Amino acid sequence: MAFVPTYANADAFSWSGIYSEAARAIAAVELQTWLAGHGIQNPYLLTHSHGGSVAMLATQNGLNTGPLVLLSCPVHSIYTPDFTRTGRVVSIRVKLDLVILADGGGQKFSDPRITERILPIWFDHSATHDPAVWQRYNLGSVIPP
Amino acid sequence: MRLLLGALRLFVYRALWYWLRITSAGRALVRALGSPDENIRSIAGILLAKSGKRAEPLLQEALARRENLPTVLTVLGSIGDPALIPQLRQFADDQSPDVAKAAHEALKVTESAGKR
Repeated sequence: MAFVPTYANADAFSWSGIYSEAARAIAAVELQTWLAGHGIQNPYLLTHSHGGSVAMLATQNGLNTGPLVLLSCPVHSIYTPDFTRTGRVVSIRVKLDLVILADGGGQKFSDPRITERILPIWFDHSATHDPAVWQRYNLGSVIPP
Repeated sequence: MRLLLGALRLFVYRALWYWLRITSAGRALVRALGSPDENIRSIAGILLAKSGKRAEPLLQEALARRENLPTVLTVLGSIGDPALIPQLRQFADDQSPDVAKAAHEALKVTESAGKR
């Protein structure tokens, strides 16, 4: 499998991070367009926060993905993956994420098709994208191969 | 624990500003958009964005001072008020690429909201 990190080069995919449903809807379409333009099929998506919402919306729009990893993703009923279009879905989060508390989203997915891994870390929304945390908790072994 | 206290402080600022109309508490929220801590920046941004148009005067003040750009532009994009489009356009050609990009993104979302 070719690994094309979407953040690693000048032509990287990024989205605004603007805090609104409209921004996430636009980003979902742009993600699908970016992947198609780069000839990438069934991408392995590692997402953080509402980036996971964007990825899940993209699957609702018809994007097929490989595994989908959701890091510190707020839970909102409108953002669920189309499970027929994704590989395994794994959620990694901390206890009582304060950013998610401000967001008003749920702290945990209840859908059994999403594997939840809750780290023994409190409050810190950014911990799940910290390389030191990945090493300490061996998160490479938690996510799908 | 420091993160918890910092976050609690933001919730208190928001309550003081939003419910008791204490402007200095609102300005403290805007200042927090420049925090070195990603959690604090995010919480401040969400609290301002959720306040909608009520937050616009504070954010416009910050724009005038070029305080915490481009984050302030991103929060304005989150509010998505079409009335702010002319102000957002002023930053679309900013000499700072990050500021110009944030203004373009905010415009894209705000203009799309205006069409719906």
